[in-house]
Amino acid sequence: MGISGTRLVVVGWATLAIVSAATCQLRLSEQASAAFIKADGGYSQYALNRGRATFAWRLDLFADAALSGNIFFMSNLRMLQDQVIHVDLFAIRFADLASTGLNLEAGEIELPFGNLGERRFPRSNPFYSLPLTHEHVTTLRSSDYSLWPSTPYFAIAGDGVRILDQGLYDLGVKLYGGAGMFDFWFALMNGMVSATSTYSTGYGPSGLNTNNRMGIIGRLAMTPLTGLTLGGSYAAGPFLKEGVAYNPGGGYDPSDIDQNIVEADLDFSLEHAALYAELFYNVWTFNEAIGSDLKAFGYSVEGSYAPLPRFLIALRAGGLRFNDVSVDTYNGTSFIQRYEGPWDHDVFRLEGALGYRLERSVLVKLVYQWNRTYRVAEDPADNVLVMQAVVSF
Amino acid sequence: MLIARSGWASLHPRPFILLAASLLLLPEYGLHAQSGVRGKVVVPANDEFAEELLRERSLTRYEMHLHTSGDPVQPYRLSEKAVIYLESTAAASAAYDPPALHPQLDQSQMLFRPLVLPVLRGTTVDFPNNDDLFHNVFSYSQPKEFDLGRYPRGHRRSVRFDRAGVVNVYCDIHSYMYATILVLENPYFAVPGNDGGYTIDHVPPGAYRITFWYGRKKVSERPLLLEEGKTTVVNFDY
Repeated sequence: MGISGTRLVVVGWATLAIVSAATCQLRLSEQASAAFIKADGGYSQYALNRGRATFAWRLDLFADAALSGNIFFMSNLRMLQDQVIHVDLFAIRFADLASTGLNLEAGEIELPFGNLGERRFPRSNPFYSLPLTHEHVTTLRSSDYSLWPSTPYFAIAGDGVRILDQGLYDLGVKLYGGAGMFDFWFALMNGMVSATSTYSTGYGPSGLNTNNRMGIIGRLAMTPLTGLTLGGSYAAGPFLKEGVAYNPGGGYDPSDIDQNIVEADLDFSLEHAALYAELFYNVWTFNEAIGSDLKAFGYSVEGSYAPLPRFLIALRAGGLRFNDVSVDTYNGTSFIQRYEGPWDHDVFRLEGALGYRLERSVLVKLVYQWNRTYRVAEDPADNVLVMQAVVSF
Repeated sequence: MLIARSGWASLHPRPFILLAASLLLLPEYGLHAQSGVRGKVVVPANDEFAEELLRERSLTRYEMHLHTSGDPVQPYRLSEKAVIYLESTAAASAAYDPPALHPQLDQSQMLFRPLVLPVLRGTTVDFPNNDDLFHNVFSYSQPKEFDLGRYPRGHRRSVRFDRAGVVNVYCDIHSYMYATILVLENPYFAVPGNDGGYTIDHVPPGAYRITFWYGRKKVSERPLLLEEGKTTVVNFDY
């Protein structure tokens, strides 16, 4: 989004906030964070700023309004040091529809896939980044479904979609509710969890649906006892945009190529400890188009413990594995060679974090990421040290 | 006050205006050697605190369905949000036995109850969880830092408060939840009844400060001279 678009977002958001404030009570809150980051200088997408020490910042603005007893407006804007404003959430919630206990949200919604919850925000995330499944940039591009596994820059630096697109927001609608120990969600959306319509680059108007079908998400979770939640999510739908650059299989519509992803998660907490675990299995259905499906398996296990008031210790391990493919690679104008091997490089990340709350609303973190890349000639040096301060108000 | 701290803003004029607290000091002659103070507090009929907390609760983005069902939340009674207490240098240096019965700060319907809990220094307060989900009660206030962690419905944790002062209590999971524990140096405090009336008896005569605490803050504080055998009437308006 350019600067004019940025201004438009700010003006629109502020206008809505004022209108909301004039007619109802509005809650404004913020999370601001500043970070110092020093990565190793290896050739890797994790080596932020190519290893040069740098400062970074992030600002999340929240404006939520209770329009009536059961109609709410929820929004958050996210700004980074690139000064681009991302409208993550911009939704109207209808709660307890006709006293059924069902809730409906429409607009740009938080996608009900997985159990990231408030950990997507710096205040509640003991680490600097999200789990690898939300962060790792694969070699698969949604704009032209080019694969670049044999090109080192794109293979390791990443130039494609993520398996889950960071904080997971998209334009759509979701219906959700609960019964006893069970909670359920169902959502329809313009894009897909790997390529949300709002932020994916490529062809077509940003934000609107760019193919013939919509993505669907279903999620079911159960809480058999307080503090223990087991959940599973499934999402399916096309992720490519119409007008892609080439059509290798001949006669295939981009809408015929889906992302199918299934996820299982566990959330357990007791006393001063918390544990989150997630497993993902993801398939992009390219088999008929290029002869191989693109598959990825991901996992993340995160534990945290608060030994004293104000202190938090956290550890997270996560990894991604990719299947072997046999495909013709494309250089933008022609197919250049047959490639057999993994379509992306397996990765593993171990993260340790120390957190200390100076005040209720001020958190400082020290995070170290130990990154490993496998099935490459040389594992790039890309460990990362982060010091971050988060203020919420 | 509450607006600024909770992040609420409104373009509407408030339904009431914060009036300057007034005190009426009317001496009355009693028959006992010790002194006392009684009076009445007058506060707005609506419960601004509960309304704001419930509005914040309705905007919770997670665990939403858990608070859209169940019994409706009752407004805070006056006794849950107002405290009148006396302070003096002499009374602060005296020793008092804390009560054997532990006062409670309840976690129920995703709110703390009461909103304000006065306790004598040395008192142990229980924090029972009566919700079907976790809370994580904590405080970083100077008189007592604690973090109780997560425990299920029907369980409780206890904290002893040995230093006087204001202890702001929050939930780490539900950030809108708050309560205040007033750890007082002497037992000369009272919570008003539903009619606003209060009485503090058996107070040694002398010079005191009398304070009216309402919701999150000290609303009024005035010097008070208690004469032997007399009961003084002090009324407060909010």
